[in-house]
Amino acid sequence: MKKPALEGHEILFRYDSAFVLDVPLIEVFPRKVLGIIGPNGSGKSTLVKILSLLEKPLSGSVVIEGKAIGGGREALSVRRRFSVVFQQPLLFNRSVWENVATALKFRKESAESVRKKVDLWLRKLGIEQLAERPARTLSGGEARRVSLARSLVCDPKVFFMDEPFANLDQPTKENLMHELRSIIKESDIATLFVTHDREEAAVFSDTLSVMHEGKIVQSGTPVEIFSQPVSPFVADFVGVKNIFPAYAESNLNEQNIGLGSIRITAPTDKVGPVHVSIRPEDILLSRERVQSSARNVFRGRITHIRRRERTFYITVDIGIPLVCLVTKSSKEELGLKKNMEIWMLFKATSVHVI
Amino acid sequence: MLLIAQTTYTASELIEIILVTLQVTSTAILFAILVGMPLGIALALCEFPGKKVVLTVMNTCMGLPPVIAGLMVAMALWRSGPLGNLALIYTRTGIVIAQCIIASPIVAGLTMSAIQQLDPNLRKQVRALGATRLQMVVVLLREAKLALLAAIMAGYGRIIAEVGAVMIVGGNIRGDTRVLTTAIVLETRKGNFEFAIILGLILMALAFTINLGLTHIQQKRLAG
Repeated sequence: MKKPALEGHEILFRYDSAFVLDVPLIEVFPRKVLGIIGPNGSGKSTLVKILSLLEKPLSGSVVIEGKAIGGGREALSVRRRFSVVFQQPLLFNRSVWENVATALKFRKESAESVRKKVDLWLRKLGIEQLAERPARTLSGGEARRVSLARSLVCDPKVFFMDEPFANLDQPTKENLMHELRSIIKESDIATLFVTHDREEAAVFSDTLSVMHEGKIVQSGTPVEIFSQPVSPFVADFVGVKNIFPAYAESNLNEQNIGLGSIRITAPTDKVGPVHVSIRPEDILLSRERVQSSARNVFRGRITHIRRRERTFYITVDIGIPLVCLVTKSSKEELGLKKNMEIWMLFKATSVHVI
Repeated sequence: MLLIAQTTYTASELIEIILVTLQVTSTAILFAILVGMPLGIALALCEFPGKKVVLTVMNTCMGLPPVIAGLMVAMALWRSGPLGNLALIYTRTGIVIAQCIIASPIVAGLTMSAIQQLDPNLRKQVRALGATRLQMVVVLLREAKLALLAAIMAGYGRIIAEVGAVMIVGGNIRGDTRVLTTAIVLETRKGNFEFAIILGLILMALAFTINLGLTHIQQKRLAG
């Protein structure tokens, strides 16, 4: 595996006595996107500012190529190998071309080099036709592209993005994410990407770290994070719907888990108080009791039906309210209605014990 | 010619009064920009012990009665004063000093607020693009240029209309330190109201022309 392009060691930061950022280790690798997710106020943006040398930590160090970075001219020269885009495009009151040229002019590159690089990045981000437009007259999506071109034009080694897709409509966001990911993968850029949007994070990142109250509480691939959350907070934040406190009893093969008034079966070696989560898409609904290898079969009553784009969340009370995800066609086939009695089943392996 | 004949001024004297007015006010605003803008930038961007005290002093000076400023400068420049050996009392340089003291806090205060009104994240964005501290300041000034021009216009408006300090420090000496405002006061005292009004109209035309120029630059940049 390649060496990290950027490391943060023992980063400690304090806003006031109430908030402390405490990150023992964070590493960003070339050609990889590290996503940082967490609710608002969890310290994601502060971490970006510290790692990009825009904010000084109380203690700890930012390490590039094995060397801890000091202040003054050294910090400036390292900062010139980074690029940061913030939630707002923050364009200057000049033309698009002048905006994109800004970082190169700061570095006193020759006029010819500036022209070539600016033209190249305007083309790469599909905004060459906007070159002469005053930046303040652009739409949200266009402004975001200009902001990205302005940051990427100086060929950064580490690229920080703080909620770069916020406030964009879905098609614009999807196109931009797709193009940007291709650009990152084609280059040697190490990217740190901050968002509070779980779907963005899952699609855009190679690895994810979840932040909560100034600490990284779980790191892993998006699949690991979304399927095996290590705490009720992570499970809740990444959108696991069915998460309940429970009690695991010892059994030779599988655990019987007391879940309110019902008992479910799940493979785990944990004993005692636990949390269980069951992904809504892993639960099947049926009008009749079906013969299946699934160990957890219950009958319950539909209490809520909520539409979510092309799918529906169906809440079934089986002693506890379990949420299932069904497609529109399944809903119509089964004739699902509020207060209807229904069978539900899920495999023991679909139960994640935290 | 009729106008001139009714007064004690010749045409060339009148032109000289206008030129002296332009000379002292433009020199004073230039120095006020040189003093006030860096001070305003520093107050907007830097944190240091005693900043609140400096801000309070600056805010007080923004509303400083010009006659007090004139008195302080005159006391310093009088022959017996600490700067008496410079022989600047009753000179145009003396007027420039007084006007600079009056305009600098206005330019500084409005510069500070112009910079502070920019999005705080803009500063971080500029630094993140690899700017040195000086490059960052240049970009911020460029972004705040409309408000900065307003600061200059406010400072200039204050000194071109100023009379008390100019009278005390300059002495209203004919052919030397007489400017439009002091000439208006003098003519009014003498009962030459018509001529005082003419001088007033000239003063207003000057102020209007200068502000028209600055407004043109301001709005052209806004459109650009």
